[in-house]
Amino acid sequence: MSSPALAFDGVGIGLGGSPVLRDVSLELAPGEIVGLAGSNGAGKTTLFRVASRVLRPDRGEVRLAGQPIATLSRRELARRLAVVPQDVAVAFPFRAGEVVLMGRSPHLSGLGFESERDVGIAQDALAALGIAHLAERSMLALSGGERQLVLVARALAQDPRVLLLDEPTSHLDLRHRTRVLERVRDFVARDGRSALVVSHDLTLSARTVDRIALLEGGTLRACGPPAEVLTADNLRVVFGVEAEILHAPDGHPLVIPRSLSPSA
Amino acid sequence: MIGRRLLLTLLLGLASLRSFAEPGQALPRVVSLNPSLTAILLALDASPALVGIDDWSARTHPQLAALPRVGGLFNPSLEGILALEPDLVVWVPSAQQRNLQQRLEALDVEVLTLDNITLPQLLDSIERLGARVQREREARERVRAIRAAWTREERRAARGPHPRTVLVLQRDPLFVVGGGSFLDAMLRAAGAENAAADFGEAYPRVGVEWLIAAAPQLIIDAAEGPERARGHWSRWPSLPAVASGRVVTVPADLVTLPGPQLDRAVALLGRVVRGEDVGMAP
Amino acid sequence: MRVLSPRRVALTLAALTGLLLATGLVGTVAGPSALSVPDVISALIGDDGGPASDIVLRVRLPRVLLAALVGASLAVAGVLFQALLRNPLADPFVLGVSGGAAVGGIAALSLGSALGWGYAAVPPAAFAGAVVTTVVLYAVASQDGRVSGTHLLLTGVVFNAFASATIVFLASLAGLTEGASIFLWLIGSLSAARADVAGWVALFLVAGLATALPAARNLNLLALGEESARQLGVDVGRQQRLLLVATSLMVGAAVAVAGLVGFVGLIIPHLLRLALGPDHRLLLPASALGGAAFLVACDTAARTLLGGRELPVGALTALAGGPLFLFLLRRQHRRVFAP
Repeated sequence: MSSPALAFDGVGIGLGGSPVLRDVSLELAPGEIVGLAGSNGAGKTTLFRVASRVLRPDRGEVRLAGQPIATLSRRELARRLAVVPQDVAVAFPFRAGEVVLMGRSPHLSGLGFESERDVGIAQDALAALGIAHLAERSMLALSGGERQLVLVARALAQDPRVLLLDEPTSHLDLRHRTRVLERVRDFVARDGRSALVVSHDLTLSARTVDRIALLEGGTLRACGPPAEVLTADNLRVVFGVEAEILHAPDGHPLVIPRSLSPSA
Repeated sequence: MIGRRLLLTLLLGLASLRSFAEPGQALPRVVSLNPSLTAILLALDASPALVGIDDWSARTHPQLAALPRVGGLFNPSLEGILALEPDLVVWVPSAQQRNLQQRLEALDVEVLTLDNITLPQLLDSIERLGARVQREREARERVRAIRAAWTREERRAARGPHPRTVLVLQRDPLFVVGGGSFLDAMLRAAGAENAAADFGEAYPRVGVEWLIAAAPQLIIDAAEGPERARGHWSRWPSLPAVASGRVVTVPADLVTLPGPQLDRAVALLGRVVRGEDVGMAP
Repeated sequence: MRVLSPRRVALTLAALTGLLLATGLVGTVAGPSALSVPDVISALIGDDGGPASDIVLRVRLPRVLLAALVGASLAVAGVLFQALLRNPLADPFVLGVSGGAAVGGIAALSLGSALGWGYAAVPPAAFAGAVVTTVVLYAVASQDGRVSGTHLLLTGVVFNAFASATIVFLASLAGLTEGASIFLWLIGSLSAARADVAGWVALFLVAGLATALPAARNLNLLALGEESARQLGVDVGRQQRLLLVATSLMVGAAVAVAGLVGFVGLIIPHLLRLALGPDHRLLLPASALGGAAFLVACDTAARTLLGGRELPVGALTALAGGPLFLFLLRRQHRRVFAP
């Protein structure tokens, strides 16, 4: 059996003295999309930072296709794994097209000028997200949602094996939200890549991902097909919410929050 | 009993007689806030009157190093001055010190403001300061000596030569003597033609390019570090003064300090201008 | 999609080089002693030891050269500081490097005459001050080998305040002649131009550019934040250290020689970024050329405007730079907030 595309093995890390992740073990198979859910501050972004080597875990390790990421060079890691952050603060008036082109950076060599192929990849990424018309606009002039789309396009241009998306649709309207998730599906469908998506929209997430991982108390409370994981009991524990789970005709769960749980 | 009272009266009478016997009262306690005024007091043999000096005076007159200091040229300490209980504070006017003058006078300290930019001002300063410290005779003598030396040099200089001259106060940045100051007057009295006289300012900062274009035949270098003068000026061999070896260093304190030694200074400049050996050429 | 191509870089740099050569030419021809152009040309061709040769070869040419080198150093340092701090308003003096250089230089000036040192002690002392400050700042502001832009900035501001106080203290100890030198140094002046001094500035400028140019693409990535840059494969800590070293060398040498010439490191990168875009692969070399041309022009004006008298060049960069900066600020405001 081929090794998982991305594996967290007993990852634990504390920040500022308090533990954030205790013991997270999660595997992404090639061709799989996994949704990562949990309450705010549960450690989802921290997990992404550990995976992209922005942070070093205190315990455990992360492996890409069987190789511990600590043994990879930064550029090699960047060629294989891309992160779509929630947002970026742009200090200088780079244009959207330039930012997407930055995604090619781990693949560039020599003097550092992009080739025609690189430019083509960037243009395709922009078109795939329907923002080709934003290519010449300054990032400083874009809305939050438009910036998100640019960041997703940048990650696609980076052409990684594994894609980590941190709330990529929080500012997007329904159309763009749907589009992004469709693109993620297309991406994963291409020769066995994988994606890990954080989303607060559990219902939409449930339709898109193959499995959902619920992060709670620094570790995974549950991980499996959405219908199995999204139970009233899990939602109560993880989010402190009394929710009703309905099922759409095609079987996908619909999450309807009713009220806050009485504090335990 | 009567004898003792008589003795006491006699003693008191003698004491008061004694003070009347001296012309005027005791020397005033003087604080000097400018090295040129300090120099005047020294030259007039009035240094016993000095109770405090500024930092620069202490540097220029090391023999006074033991005297209490009251601060720098532009920031004297009011408290330091008052602590010495002066009768008189002498200074050269400057913008920052105006406030100090008002405050001192408000505290009943006499302030004597003496200008020293032009020659007449300087001579007047010597006389006024001398009068105030009971040295009128010495002051008049000094002024007479300066005027005599001045006239002597002017007469000698009338016969020529009149080299085009630059008197350098600082090499880097380049400060020279312009028109209007006593230094300019001294140069002319010594017979030199001041190449920088057209600058309205007393001590303008000029570019080297101007100096080269002015082509001075004589460079009088009064800057610090006279041993560096030759090396510095020979960087521009087209200067006529360099080509003909007419770069002469003079001691800064003697020449540029507007003090009581102007008779010696003008005589020295006269000898320099006429090309006589002054024992100081680099 | 518009993309930065090597061709565009080459063309723009060629144009800027032309501009620099033109200002250099004007600087060689212009001066208070109004030499005619034929005189200047013959002086350039042959050295006959006359006044024209002295003026052109030993006064004007060294100054033009030094102005170009100092201007280039300050402008490149400005770009690098703006990239490191992710702030287009940063300039080479904001991080306290210049404060350290100033303390070193002014200490040499005010204490040096008491110790018998000449003016020659000032450049090495200023340079030492700059380097020591950078090392100390980096040590204070870094954690685990990484520096946060905000920490650096705050540490730099505090250090600059401390340096200012020290400078005032040293200046009050100084005598009258040193006072004039200190003032000129604080505002920036190129009147001490010598060919050998220019050599040191050139050396550090080349070293700085050799470090910065290969990092130009990484500097682009840094604009989106340290985390983003890391995730795109940049070794941020190492890059920061390298760039801090490069900039402190360049700023140290420039300030040691010319004093605190302001605005070049702020205006030129800003102006060029507006005109050419924020891509550092073009912005870095363009700023070197633009900064050089700007300072040559300012220095030419400084020694020509008042006839024989000399203005300190820092006064002119401020006069030109101040209004220009306000104009740039308004343009950028309009651009960013336009619909």
